[in-house]
Amino acid sequence: MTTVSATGTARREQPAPAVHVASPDLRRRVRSPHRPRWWTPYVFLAPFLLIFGTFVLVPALSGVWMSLHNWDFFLPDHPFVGLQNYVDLFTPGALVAQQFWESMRATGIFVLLSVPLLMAIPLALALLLNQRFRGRTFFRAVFFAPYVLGVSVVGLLWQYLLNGNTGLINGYLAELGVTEAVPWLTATPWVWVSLVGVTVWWTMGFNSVVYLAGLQSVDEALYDAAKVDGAGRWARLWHVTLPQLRPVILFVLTMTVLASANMFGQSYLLTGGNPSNETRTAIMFIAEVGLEQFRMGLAAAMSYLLALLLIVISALNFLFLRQKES
Amino acid sequence: MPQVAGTYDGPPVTLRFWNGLTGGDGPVMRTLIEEFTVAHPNVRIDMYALPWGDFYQKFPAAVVSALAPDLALMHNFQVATNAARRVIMPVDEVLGTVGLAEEDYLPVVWGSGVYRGQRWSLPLDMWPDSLFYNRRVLEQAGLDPDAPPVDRAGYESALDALASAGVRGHWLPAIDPQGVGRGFDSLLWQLGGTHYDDAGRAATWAGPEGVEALAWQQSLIRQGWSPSDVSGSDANVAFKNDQNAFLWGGPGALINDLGQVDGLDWDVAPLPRIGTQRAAFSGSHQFVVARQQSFDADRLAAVVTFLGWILENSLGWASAGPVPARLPVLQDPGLQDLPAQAHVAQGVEHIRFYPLVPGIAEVQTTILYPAVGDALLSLGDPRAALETATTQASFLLTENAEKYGEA
Repeated sequence: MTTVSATGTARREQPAPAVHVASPDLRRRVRSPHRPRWWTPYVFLAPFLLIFGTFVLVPALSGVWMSLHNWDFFLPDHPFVGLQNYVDLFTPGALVAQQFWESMRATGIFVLLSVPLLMAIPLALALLLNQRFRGRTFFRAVFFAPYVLGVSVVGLLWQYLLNGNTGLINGYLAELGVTEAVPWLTATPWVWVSLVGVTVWWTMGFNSVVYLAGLQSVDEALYDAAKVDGAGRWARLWHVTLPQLRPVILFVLTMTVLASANMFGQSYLLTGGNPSNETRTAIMFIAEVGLEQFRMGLAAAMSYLLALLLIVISALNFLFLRQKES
Repeated sequence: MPQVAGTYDGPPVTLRFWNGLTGGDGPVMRTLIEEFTVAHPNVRIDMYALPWGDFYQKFPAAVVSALAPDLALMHNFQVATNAARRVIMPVDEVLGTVGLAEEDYLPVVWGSGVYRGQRWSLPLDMWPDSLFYNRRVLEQAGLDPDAPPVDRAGYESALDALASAGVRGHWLPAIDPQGVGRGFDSLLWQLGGTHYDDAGRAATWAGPEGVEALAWQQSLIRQGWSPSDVSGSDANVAFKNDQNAFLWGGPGALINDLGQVDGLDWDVAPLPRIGTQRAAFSGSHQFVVARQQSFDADRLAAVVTFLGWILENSLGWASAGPVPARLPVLQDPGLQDLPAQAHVAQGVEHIRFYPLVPGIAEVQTTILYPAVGDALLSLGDPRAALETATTQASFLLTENAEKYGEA
């Protein structure tokens, strides 16, 4: 027993110095400001979480709830209708289904027409503005300038320019001898030319700036190496610049697809959805149904379908460009 | 609602009055309110004007959130909708106190505030679509500027004369949420057609009258009497620049607008009779009492006092453009001081209103008007356009009947 206890004591005493050395160390590590407590990150996230929760999470969840009801703010009852709002959107022949898919089609057309241009033109512009020449900063500012305008300014400005009967553009075309007035805002295909053109003019500056930042981070040594290997301008663009820009291109593509799919102001202000609701985009229709007709349940259901589609498209973007990377 | 009798003479109250008078009509209403306050110093009125579109969104929201104003002004074709939404109150009980009598109004106007056997609104004015004409343009084309056309033959020959003089005489808007459809409305009624069946459950505008009305509108473009792809603002700009002779529109929007253009020589007359009978689309601003969670007898008495006063003094409102709804006021010689309004008033006996069906304005502006606009842009088959719109409308009419039916 004594032995045991002695050993025990000895054992207890022997490591004691070690413990003694270790414990302040340990204590320091625990209490060190560099080793945060488990909840520290949440405290830092709290302000954003609060905003995110109030303005994104709660509305998103209550949107799901609304979409299951026939929800008019101003009527006392909001009868539960289950998935009826969604079913309505997939019932062939139903008015709302027709109108909704027509508006989705408009959004789709706009994305297909505008995204390639908003990818290619700003890239070309960025390549140009990345050259060294006099007045480079001035031109960078000039091409970016329209982006700072609000959509209402852009809408009003181009309304004056594009109006079929009283617009400046048709006025000048007439002086150049074009006798037939071009219905820029009232007939296909001109409405799409106008909407896509205005959008490209308005937002290409932003994409250019993003490309430009990407271009400036491409290692010069790669170009030198390519030159040594006998690569010409096009080969350098194709084999050095574009691969180096891939993450930037992915970012620009994703943002541009989302922005184009959410197009609202241009159609609303320039064409008003004309002709025949041809240019009434999904967001425009959702706003009309939800905020003008107060059919909030239906509008929420439509928003979810649109959001789902955009999530799928964004995921495909990532998948597609990531596969290429490997 | 508490009982109210006679003029309010209690302690000072401040009423909240909402409306959509954001144009030239706003200051006119404010002046009238000032005059009222001079006569009734114990009642102050805070007027809050917001664009009509916003008004129809925010007014019901305010009522539901217990932030309702005391009274408001709204369009006749929105009264049934808001009655069904239960955001306004029946006003039958205060009719006598306000001094409203059936014989003082045109039947269509008197009936326009009655929904499900109760009266919900008090008509202030009428704004029939009328024929605004540019006198100088008519004169230059060899037409008599003092005798605007009154029937179809006269109208078409005037347009021919104008065309020979190189002027497209009737710029017909194909894109304009308001201007497009109201011309069609008037023509449909002139040809003896109707928009809806009696129950307000089905659209009837695709009948022969509707087809003829739309075909006539298309003929204006086909004949070159109107350019194609016209928007409401184009027609207006052309008129002000002596490039357009005729505008069909309401006095509320146009009288002050045209009156501000220096050197423009214009006048206004009732719409010409293109169909078999005279008729013109008209709207009417009507006072409503907002539903409160609990009514204060003093405030309500003050509201009634104001309504009685302003309907009595609605001649002052005429300078905003619309003409008074109350016939004795309309026949007041004072109206002759406003020649344009006096000319508009000559056509009031032929005015037509939309039927009193909740949600009807939405059917008109989201289904019929776009269909008319499309037909004017594409010059496609009018019958097909109107039949498609009939099918579309049946969905909305059924949905509205269900939505407002039980409310």
